Amino acid sequence: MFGVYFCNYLEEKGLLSKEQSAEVIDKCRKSKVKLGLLATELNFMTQEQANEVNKIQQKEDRRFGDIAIEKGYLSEGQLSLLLKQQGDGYLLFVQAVTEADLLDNDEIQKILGTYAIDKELSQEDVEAIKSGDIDREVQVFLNKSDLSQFYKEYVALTARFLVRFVDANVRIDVPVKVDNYTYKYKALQGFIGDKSFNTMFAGDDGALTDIAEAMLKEEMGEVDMDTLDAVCEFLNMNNGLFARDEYEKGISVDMLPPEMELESGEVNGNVYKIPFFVHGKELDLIISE
Amino acid sequence: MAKILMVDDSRTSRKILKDILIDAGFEISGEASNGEEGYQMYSEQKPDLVTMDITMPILDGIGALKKIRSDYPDARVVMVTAAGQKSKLIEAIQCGAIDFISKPFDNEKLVEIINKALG
Repeated sequence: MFGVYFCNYLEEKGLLSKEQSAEVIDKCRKSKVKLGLLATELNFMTQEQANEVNKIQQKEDRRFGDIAIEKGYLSEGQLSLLLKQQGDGYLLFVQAVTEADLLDNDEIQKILGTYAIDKELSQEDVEAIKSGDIDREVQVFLNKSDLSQFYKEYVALTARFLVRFVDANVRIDVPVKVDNYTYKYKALQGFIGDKSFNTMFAGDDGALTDIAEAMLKEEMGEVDMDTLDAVCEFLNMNNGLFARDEYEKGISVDMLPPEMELESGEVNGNVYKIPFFVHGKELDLIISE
Repeated sequence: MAKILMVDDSRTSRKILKDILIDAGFEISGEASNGEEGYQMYSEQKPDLVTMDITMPILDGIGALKKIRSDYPDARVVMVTAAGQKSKLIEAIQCGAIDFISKPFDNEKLVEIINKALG
């Protein structure tokens, strides 16, 4: 969602406080209706059909609209209408920020120009971020990194999985290669096979808790072994989808049992840090070889 | 009431599965966190059915399935799998697993598979 990227920039520039930024994002979030809900409200789909598509979506890395069209529940025209009705993320942001008297339209346009320059974004990149399409958003940042295509695909899939299960408005930043990464807790799963590498989630306690809560559908307290177990299970399901996609391309990768520890440690070697932000909290996806 | 033994190293996965099975009227005879423990518990409890995760430490699901079916040829084992484990699933079915359920769970389908496996 455009709002989470631009609000973060406005915060960096001191133009919005953290609270104002959270308020704007919350307003944008509430204004965006889920596609399935919209489709049933307009009687394009029955509740049963929407539930069926949601279930398929949990197991397959595909969009709601694409599945609904394939099933014959929606026509291309209906989907296009639904997407328009769902609301343009950029316009929702402009509406939220102007209604709250934080900035006017001219100011937004002016800041948008400096945002592109400061973040080294092309007009095309800005349009991709404004599009609200997670794939296009993520590609802008992945293309600024030296990640291989194989890992870019892994990160893009993880972004979609986070959007689906944890936060519809997840934000990503440019992946960076680091010499080592110090983690507070270990929640890791390795792959072996044609390509061997480790994947791990680390970062703010709150981000790990958010994943656990999404998995267990219950409120969690401080990070404990149950939290890490749920994070590892999330990683395991995500990695399973990736392994299946790669298998279909002729690349065989098997998942190893997840590893978790409540103690801090360090990852060394070829390490990539991919910063995600869920509900504003940093969640680092770590890929190491 | 059919008794089910759950073998999975993930407490999260066991909790989600347990809630679904109890809601559907099944009894959980025990929970094991690896294949070796699962085999031991099967020997002690002789449950009506086992749900067996594939990727586990110490002894994985395929190893435990082979061990259980070798000593108890009538054992009913349903594999639990994340996506992307197609080759292992084929191996499990060849080793005598009745069926499989995939994560994330689809509650209705899961219960249907368990009922079918119990005959």
